[in-house]
Amino acid sequence: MAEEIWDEAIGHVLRAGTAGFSVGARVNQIGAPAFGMFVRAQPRTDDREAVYGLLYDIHIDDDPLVRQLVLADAVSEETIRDQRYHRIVPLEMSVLAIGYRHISGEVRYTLPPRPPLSLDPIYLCGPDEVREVASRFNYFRLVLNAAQVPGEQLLASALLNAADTLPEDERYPFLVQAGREAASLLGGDLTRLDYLLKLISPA
Amino acid sequence: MAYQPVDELDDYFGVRAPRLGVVTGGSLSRGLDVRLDPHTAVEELAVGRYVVVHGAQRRFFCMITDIGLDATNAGIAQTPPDVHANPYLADVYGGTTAFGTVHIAPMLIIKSDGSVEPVRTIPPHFREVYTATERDINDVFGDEDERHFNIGAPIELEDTQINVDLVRLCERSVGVFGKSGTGKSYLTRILLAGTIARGTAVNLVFDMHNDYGWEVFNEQRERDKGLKQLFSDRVAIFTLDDDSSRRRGVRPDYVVTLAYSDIQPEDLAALRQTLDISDTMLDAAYTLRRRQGRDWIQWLLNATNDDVEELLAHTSVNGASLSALTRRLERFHRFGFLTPQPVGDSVQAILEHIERGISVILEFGRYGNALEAYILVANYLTRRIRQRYVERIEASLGDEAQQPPQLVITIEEAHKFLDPLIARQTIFGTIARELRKYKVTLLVVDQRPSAIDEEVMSQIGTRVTALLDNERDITAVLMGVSGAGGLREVLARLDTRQQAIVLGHAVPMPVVIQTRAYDEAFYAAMGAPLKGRSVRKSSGGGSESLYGDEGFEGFG
Repeated sequence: MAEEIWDEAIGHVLRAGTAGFSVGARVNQIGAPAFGMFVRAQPRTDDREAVYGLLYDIHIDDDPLVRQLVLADAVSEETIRDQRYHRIVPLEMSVLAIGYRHISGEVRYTLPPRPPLSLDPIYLCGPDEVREVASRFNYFRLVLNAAQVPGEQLLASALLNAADTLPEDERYPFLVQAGREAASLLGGDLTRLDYLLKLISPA
Repeated sequence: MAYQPVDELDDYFGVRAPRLGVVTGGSLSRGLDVRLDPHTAVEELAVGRYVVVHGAQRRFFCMITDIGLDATNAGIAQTPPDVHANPYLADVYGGTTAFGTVHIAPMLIIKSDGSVEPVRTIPPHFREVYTATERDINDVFGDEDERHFNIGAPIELEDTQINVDLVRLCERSVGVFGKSGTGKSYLTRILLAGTIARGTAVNLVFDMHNDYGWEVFNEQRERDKGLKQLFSDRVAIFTLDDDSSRRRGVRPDYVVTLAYSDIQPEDLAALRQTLDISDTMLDAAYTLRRRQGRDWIQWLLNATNDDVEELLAHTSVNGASLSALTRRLERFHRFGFLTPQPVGDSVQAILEHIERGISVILEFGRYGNALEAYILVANYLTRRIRQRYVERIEASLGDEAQQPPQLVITIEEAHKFLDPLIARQTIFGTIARELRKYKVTLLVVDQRPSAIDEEVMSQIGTRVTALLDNERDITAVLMGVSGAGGLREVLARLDTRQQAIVLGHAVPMPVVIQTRAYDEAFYAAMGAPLKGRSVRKSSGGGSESLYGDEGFEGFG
């Protein structure tokens, strides 16, 4: 059976806190992860919780070689590929923690009791896992209240990703219920609410 | 909150009445505020509909009295979302940021054993509100039995029944109100049929427009059976206009005639407004009665100039007033039922029928269009019948077996009899104020309840009211009713046909009904044996207080 993209780690934990963590990866791994995807930091041992999060920032820092190459008149494709493959600074992805899987097996929508550890592998959640994690909306407040992330953009992307995992006839009801939950949280800030709803509106 | 398809929830909880929302505030006196759930369609609700609040220990039976729209953020009214361009926004905002509300009036408490009691408390915050089910309705209104009569169903709960307590209905006066064309006669006919079918009371109906006796044409120009056809051996048709009755194919049981000599000045007092009779004219009538005896009217109508001059010379009667009175009384010439010599004793004939438990419907034929004839005859007969009743009741010395049957007298255009200016002088005002003392009560049918004397209105025990749109009329009908503010909205929004609100002595709580159809099924039910268990359960002493105590002194 062919291996799916969510069976292979997209990177490993670089830095972590309970509110979120950074993931380091090779540049050539940039094809799979995307803004708003559900990811899981999988502990290497069973005595810790798997932490769920939303991928909200992907950035590529420069390194000394890139600084030189960008000033060169002509750079061959081979050089560019070589630089990308062998660069010493990883591609970094930021993840906002939205919950964790308790050792009982249940997904809890609070900040994890402890952060993932360095070099724990990070996986994209598969469709079944996305449906499970996104079936409850208790993580909305964590996303909308996070200071460092574009909350409405991130939540909208996550919801659209989650909707894509549902059968077509369940997508609209799902987005309506998600919109209502958002409305109950953002009722006092109609500007943000209106923006979010327009982002996820199926129309 | 979790996303779950609704079907799964129904599988889990089983089939329930639709939940409408939750209680968010209110008080016993003002009623309760309910925030509607997102799935509850505001436009499918209606004032007058019953809902039940499920408290922890009991159900609170309530009526919707107002419906509103609200929002968590007032700013949404300034910048409303464009839901036409994007229906998704309507689905999201509806029930969340913008939501519906209803105001409900608690009416009764249904305890866990199904018994009902008056409402003296309210449910706590956030209790769930459901549309009332058939079970809720039946717990409150019971089944039809020997005493309870089905008069219709609550709005949109056609499979249930609202049963009025006929004994309580008849022991105090009843009002059937509604603007013209709202089906007052139809409602009255149903109530009368109930009292006759159950033998709760004997009726004397002053049938102004021949609506109750043999048959009547409904709005579809079809023939509806009158009470005589439904209860041939328990209803007699009397007529003032034999020709009219026979033209309509009615064979009256008795033709009523009155002698001029029977009409007393007291009978004219009731006609003061209709005939524009002044105090001095009435004084002249009393003087004439004193001088000329029982034939005073015929004497006046046949008097020569010499007779009049002689009268004026020897009494304090004013000449102009006497002339005016004469002109008024000359109108009586048009009334064929008034004769110099009566054929039989109409009062006695009516009383004999009543004694035998036979209801009397007095058709006015062509005289129904002459209000003065209607008032004159109704007043004349009622005065004498009531006097006989008083004598019988007093002679019985409290022995129930010796007393005549409960009598309900039905009059139309009641405000003409019960106007504040004349209510104290007419026999109808007296009967209304006496309550059940002499076993004679009124069923007043009227479109202008505000024109009826306030004291009389306060003594009307049960009010059956179709649509009214005049503020003063609505106020008059709701006078003395607790929670009237909410009922006012209900009353002003009834359908123009076949809907009514029933409140007062004969029902445990105000109730809006879709009136029972007056059709073949109704005819059959009037002759069919009764089915159904007896009755509304009571909770010990709660039942009595529910219906008001014995010391009830009216709404006022």
